[in-house]
Amino acid sequence: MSQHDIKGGYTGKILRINLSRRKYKIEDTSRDLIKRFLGGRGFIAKILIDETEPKIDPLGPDNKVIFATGPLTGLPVAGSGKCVVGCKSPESNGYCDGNFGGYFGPMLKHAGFDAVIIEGRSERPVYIYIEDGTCEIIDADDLWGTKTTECETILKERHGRECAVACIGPAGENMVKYANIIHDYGRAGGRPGVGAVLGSKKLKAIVVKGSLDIPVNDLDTLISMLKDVVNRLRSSQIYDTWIRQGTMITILWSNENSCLPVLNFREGVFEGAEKISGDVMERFLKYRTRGCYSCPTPCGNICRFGRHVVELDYEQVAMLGANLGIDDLLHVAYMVKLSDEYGVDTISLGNVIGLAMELYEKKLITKEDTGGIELRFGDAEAATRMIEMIVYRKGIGDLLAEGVGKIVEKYPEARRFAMQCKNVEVSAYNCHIAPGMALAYATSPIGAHHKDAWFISIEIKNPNMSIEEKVQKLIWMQNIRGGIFECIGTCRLQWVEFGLDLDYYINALRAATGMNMTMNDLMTIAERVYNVIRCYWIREYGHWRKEYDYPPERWFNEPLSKGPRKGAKVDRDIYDKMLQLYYKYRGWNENGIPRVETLRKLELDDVIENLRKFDIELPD
Amino acid sequence: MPRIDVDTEKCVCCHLCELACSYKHYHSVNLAKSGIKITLIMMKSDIQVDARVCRHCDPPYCARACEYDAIVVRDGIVKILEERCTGCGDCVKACPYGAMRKIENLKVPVKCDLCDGDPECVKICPTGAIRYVSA
Repeated sequence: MSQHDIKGGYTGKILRINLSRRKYKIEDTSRDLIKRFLGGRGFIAKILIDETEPKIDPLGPDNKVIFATGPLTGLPVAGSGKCVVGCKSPESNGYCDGNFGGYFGPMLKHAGFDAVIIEGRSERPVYIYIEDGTCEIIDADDLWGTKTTECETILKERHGRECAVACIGPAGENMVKYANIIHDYGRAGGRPGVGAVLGSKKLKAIVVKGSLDIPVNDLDTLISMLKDVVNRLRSSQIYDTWIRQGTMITILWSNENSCLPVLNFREGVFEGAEKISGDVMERFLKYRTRGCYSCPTPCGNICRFGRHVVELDYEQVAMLGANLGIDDLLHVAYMVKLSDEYGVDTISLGNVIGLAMELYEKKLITKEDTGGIELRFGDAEAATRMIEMIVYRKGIGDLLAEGVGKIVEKYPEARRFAMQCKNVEVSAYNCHIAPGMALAYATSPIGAHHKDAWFISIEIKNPNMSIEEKVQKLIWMQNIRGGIFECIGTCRLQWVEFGLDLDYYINALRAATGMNMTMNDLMTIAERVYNVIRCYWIREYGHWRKEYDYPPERWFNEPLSKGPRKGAKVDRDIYDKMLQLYYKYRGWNENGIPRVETLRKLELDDVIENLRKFDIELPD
Repeated sequence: MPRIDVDTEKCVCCHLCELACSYKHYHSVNLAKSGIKITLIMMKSDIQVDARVCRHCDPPYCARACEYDAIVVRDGIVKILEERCTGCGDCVKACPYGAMRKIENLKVPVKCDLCDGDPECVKICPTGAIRYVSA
C-alpha cells in the first residue's frame, strides 16, 4: 500500500462478497477509513452505519457481516492473532461485534485482505473459500448440519490443513439468537448472534489460505521489540500461574470478592467454587496449553476427559457452572464441549438456562412446559438436555433460543430477575458489589459484555474512589479496551494481566504503518468509534432513552444474602448520578444522545448527515 | 547431526517460530515462508501438534533426488545451493517428512538451514518447546 504516509500494516484491499448473486469484488481500503477508524471494530461500525438502511431485519438479506482485521493483526506483535466480526444483532437489534483469536485474522491478511464484507443471502448452503487475492463460493449441502469440529476437519482435509476455518454449528443454522462462530476448534466470537446471521445467509463457513507477505513499514524494529517483549513477559511474576490456569484463576478471585454469578446472579459466592476452580482443572483435567497466533502468554486450557477434548476458561465455567449451581467441573466441561460443537455462546447459554431454572423454581414454568424435565438449579443433566433443546429449538427450547429479551416478553414477571442489558445476556461478573461494573455493562456498545471494560478489577482494588473518578476511569478503560484494542487487532490480555505498557502498542503501530499516531490520536479514534456505535443504536431504535443504559433490576432490588458482602446492592441514585456523569464526559445529552458539537469535534459530520437523512435530530 | 527438536507436548501453537524464521530468511512477515511449520491437529479424542522441520538427515533424501547437485551437506547442515537450484521441486516431493515447501514466486524451496547454528525459532519460543541439538 503506497498511500502517502501509510506504509504498512494494511494490505489495502477489502473483499466484498454478495451471496445472493454469488459474486465478489475487491475494493481498496480507503485512506479515510484507516485514518479515522484504524481497523477492526472501527471499520465494522463505520461500514454498517454507511452501508445499511435503518431498521433492516437482522436475519434478512440486507444485513451485512463484516470480518475486519486491525493494522497489527498478523504482524510480529504480542497477541496479534485477533480478528473482529460484527453485524446488526438479531438479539438486540443494535450493534454487535466480537473478537476471536486463533489465526483467522492473520491468515486473512496473508490472503491479501484487511476485511471481508458479506452481503445478501444464499438460497442454498454455501461456504466461502479465500486464497491469495481470490475468492470462490462453494456449495455446502454436505456440510449443513455438521458440528463445528467435524465441519472444520472436513474443510481442512479438502483445502489443506494449514488453512484457517471459521464456521457455524447447528445453533447458527437454526438461528439461535446467541449463536456464535467457531474457529480453530474452540475459538469463539460474536456472541450476540453473528452465528445466527450467518445461518440466515446460509453461509456455513469461511476458509482462508494465504501465502502473501503482509506489508510492514519497519520490520526490524517490530521484531526487536517483539523479542524484548517475549523475554519480559516470560520472566514476569505471574507467567507461571497464567500458563497453568489462564483466566481460570478468576473463579476463586470472583468468589472471594462476591462477584461470581451464582443461581442466576442471585448471589456472589458459591459453596462449590473450589470444586470448579482453576486448581481443580489444573490437577484433574488440564493436559496442555495452547495459544493464539503470536502470543507469548498463551491461556488456552486444553482439558481432556473420557473421549472429549475441550478448552476451558473463566466465563464458560462461571456461567455454566456457578450460575446454574453446578459444582461438578467434569459436567461443566461437557456442557462447554457441547456448546462449542453446536456453535452457541456459553455465556448467554448459561444466563438463559439460569433464567429458565429460576422461572421453574418460581413455578412460572412447569414440567409441562419443559417436556417433563425438572429444571432445578444444580441439576447438570437437566441443563445439558436444555442445551440440546435450545440448539434444535425443541419444545421450550424454541423460546429460550430467542434470548432473555423474548423470554421476558412472554413472562413479564421475569423482568425482575432477567439478567440482560439491551437484550444481551450479562456475562460472568455479578455486580451487586460493583456499581461501576454495572455501568460498564449497561454502557457497553454491544449490550452486556465485559470486553469493553473489566472495570470490576479497578473497583475492588480502590473501594474509596469517588463517583467522578470512577466514571472517568471507566471511560478511559472503555476507550482503551473497546476503542484501541478492538481496532488495532491485538489481544488486550498482555496489557491487562501482565501490565505490558501501552507505549509498546503505539510504537508497534508506528513501526508497522509508518503513521505517527500518539496516545491522544488513538484516544480520539476510540471516542469516535464509541460515538459512531452509539449513533448506530439510536438510528436503529429511532430514539433513545436513558432506561436503555440501565443494568438489570436485580442488582438494585435484591441484596446479596450471603458471604462477606451480605446486604450489598447497587444504589439507584448513585447509579443515576454515574450515568449522567458518563453522558456528560462522553459529550452526550441527558438521554444519552451524542451532541452535534461532540460529533463535529470528532470529525463525524458525515454521521450527523446520515442520521439527519433518516430524520433523527441530534441535540446541540 | 545437528537439528531442531520440537517438544510437541510443550508447543502452544503460537507460530512465533514461523514469524521469526520468515523474518530471518526472507525479511518478511509470511507464515508460508518458514522452514519450521507448526499445525494443530484435532483427533477424535485428542489435540496434537505436528511440527515439520528439516531433520538434516544423512544421507538426505532431498539431495539424492536432486538432479542438479544443488543440495549439499556442510558441517552436518543440509543446504540448498541457490545458484544451482532450478526450482524443479523434486526435492520437496522426495522429503519423507514433509519438511520442505515450494512457494509460488520463490524459486528455491523453503527449508530450515539451522541459521548456521544459532536458530531464531529456538530463541523466540516462549515455552521452551524448541531445542537446538548440536550433534
